[in-house]
Amino acid sequence: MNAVDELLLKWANGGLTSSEKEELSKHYDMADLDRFIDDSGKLRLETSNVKSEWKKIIPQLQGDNTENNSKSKSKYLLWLIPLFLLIAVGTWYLISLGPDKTIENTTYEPLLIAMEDDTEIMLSPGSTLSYNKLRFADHRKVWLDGRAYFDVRIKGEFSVVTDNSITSVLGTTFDVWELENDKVVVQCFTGKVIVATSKGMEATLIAGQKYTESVGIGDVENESKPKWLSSSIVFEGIPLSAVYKDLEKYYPIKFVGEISRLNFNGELPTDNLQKVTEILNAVTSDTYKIENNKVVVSKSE
Amino acid sequence: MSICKEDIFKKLFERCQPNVQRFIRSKDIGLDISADMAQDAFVRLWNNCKKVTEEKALSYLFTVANNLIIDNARRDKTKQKYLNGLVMSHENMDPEYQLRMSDFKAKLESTIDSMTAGSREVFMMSRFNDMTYKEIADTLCLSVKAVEKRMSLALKHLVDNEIIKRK
Repeated sequence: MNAVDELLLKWANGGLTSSEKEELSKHYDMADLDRFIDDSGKLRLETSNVKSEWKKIIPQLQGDNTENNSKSKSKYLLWLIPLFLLIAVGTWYLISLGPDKTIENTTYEPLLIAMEDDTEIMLSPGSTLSYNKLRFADHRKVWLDGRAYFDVRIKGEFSVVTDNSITSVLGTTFDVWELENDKVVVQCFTGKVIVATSKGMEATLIAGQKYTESVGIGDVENESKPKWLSSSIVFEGIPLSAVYKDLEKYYPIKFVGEISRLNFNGELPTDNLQKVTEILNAVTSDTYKIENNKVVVSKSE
Repeated sequence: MSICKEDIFKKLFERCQPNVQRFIRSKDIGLDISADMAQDAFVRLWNNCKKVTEEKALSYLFTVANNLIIDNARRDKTKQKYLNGLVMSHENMDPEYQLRMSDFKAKLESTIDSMTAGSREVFMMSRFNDMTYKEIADTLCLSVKAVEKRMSLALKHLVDNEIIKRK
């Protein structure tokens, strides 16, 4: 295999550096290669309808369970009953500590969730919130994947768990944003929150303060609510690739083309895609063009 | 998280069934038989739901599907060309674009069909199942080098057939 073939192989696996891209462009038209990825990405091997396949499989799943249970019962029933009971109680206890209800915001707008304790949660597009319905009254704990704004109205412990942090509060309004790169941003608007990250950092925030892993504790800029609830979103030192991913949650579009490694600072609207591209065109060195359901990113000449 | 609860298993099924069926289809197996084999793999997963975690489920499904494919190949009852098996995943394209895509699809299908079985399998898993070379190697029990070799031949075939053009 010669060097160019190796570069082509790497390109097909999606892992070329910019210098390798430049080298490959001496032998292949990169626009042509991008078009191939784009066009072939719109093709899929035909598969069956998942819902009808699920309907077909249900009887087999139930049947198999019954069969397994009866086998176990006949063989081990007598001496395993106490053990089963112990395991069942233990498993129930363990399961009951974890989430059993999940809400995913698949829309392009914030979703209001009213919890039974009067807490109101605004879940951002593309985010998921889980909690244990059975035990929520006693253990007010929710699991968050993405971003949400919380208005906790009744005093008492309330925790928000993400992959990398736990935020505990006492009657307050705050915003938790779990970023793609395993970082978390917590903003406290009223009351007091305690943030503990998986890297061992702990910070207590009072109203008007925010926590970011890069800066630590800083100030929230004259806001009573996070900006993403009012048609715009603020990014501070966020890689452009993460900015695109976040915007894809607010607009039915995909960012394609040359993704820069630069960070972005600024505010972008969540209800005006044209404006987004105008701002990005103005403040970055890339060119952004809306084409059908895509925003094509290319290097400026 | 345990996948033995039906609602969790259903979500897993909805998320992974197309991937598993596409994987089976990449081995030249037709739509109906691949759907049956995918069903079989999921039933086996359900029967072993206590032993397999959610994180390992997809890899388990690929392994079971691979074994089913080998069993069926021995009986040689399922061998079918995947021809015309590619579909466009996006609708509402403008007519001009749709026409260009139809031409591209026909040409790509015919080129894939004339690849060797090994190259075709690796190319389709990479391109249509979004798998990395490492993931393909793990699934097919091959070395990454062997996968790269097959993929390299597939790419050469695309170049020879002018799907990808040299300067």
